[in-house]
Amino acid sequence: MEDEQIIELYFARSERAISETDIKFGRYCTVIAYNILHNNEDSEECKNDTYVKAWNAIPPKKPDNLRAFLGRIARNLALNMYEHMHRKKRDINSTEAILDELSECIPDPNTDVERISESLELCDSINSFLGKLSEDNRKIFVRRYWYASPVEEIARDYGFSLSKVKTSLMRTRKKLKEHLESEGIVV
Amino acid sequence: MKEMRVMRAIGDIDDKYIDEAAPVQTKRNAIRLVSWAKYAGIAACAALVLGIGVFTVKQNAGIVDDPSQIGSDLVQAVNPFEEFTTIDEAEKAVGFDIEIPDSYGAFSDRSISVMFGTMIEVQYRDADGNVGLCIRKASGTDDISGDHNTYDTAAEITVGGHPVALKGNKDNYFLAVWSFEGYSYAVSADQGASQDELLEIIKNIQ
Repeated sequence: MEDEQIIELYFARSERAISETDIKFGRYCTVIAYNILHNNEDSEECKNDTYVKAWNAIPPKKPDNLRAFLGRIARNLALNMYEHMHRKKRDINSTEAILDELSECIPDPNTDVERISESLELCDSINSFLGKLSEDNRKIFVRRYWYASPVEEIARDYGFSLSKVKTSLMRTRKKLKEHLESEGIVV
Repeated sequence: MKEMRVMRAIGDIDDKYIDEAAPVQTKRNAIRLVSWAKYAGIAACAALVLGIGVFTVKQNAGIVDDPSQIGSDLVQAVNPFEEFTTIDEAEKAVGFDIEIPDSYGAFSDRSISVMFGTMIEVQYRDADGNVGLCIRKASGTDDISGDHNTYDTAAEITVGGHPVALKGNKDNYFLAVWSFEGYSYAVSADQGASQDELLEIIKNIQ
């Protein structure tokens, strides 16, 4: 079924919207959640919660890109669950590693610039940064930090060596930090 | 936690970048084929929300005299997922027949469900409850597999005179979809299977 037809089902308040969403995007959402949570049951729960959120959001919202819309919800829910578990000291080493890597992108707090703390501006800045990257470097970065994919999986999927992926990520993190600092953004 | 702030900010990047980097294949072992019944609760909640909305509107309009009637409406509306113990019962629910294999290797425990009265899904589980194979059939020609990942390998085989599209990675195929005489079919092998193995399975499906 086409995305527009699925959205029409949401607008018609037809429960079939949920089943059609599951048919087309269930695995996609589960994998995103799994990459963050590394647990089948928790990932399932995130996926199911994604459907509830989508049901509540559409209408009035009419996503231009249903896949990204659902993936973003699943990712946010998984991060919420991760934070909740983290507080309970549950071990989720892979996501820890990703967050550790991201600490390298954070501008130094003593940067002598105006503090800008709005998330939207941070995201806008990251967007403009991504637009300047080569396609390969951007895909590697997004696979790692949006999809939370393991570096081994990224290397395999794109046909790159592991060292190339790691080097690309390291350089991109460094560039992002410089970019954010140049824009006066302090996290 | 600053790292989490960056992680969340990255979550809002442009859709085009999300699409561009979408995984070309999924981690099959991370995914368990889901019985429709597992998320029946969501539909129940959804229908409850819907039902309450309807109730409120009707009540405001003075249409509803007996609130207990709403309850019975809701019961009918909330359960689009049905599990069956026999194929015969499922066939009666959807109004068409289905022929499927009795088992799939060690996956001999079949769980049969019908969604919204339109699609039969049969999952084959092993003794530990792991799903090894899933077969779906519904009216129409849409892809009903639920698997829209991009795989390395796509192939087409002919079974019983009609084409069947296979998707997988190298020689390991995870998915077979086809339509025949007004019905759509999908076979999903969770651990993957060879062309020959899928051919044998598909031969026994109608």
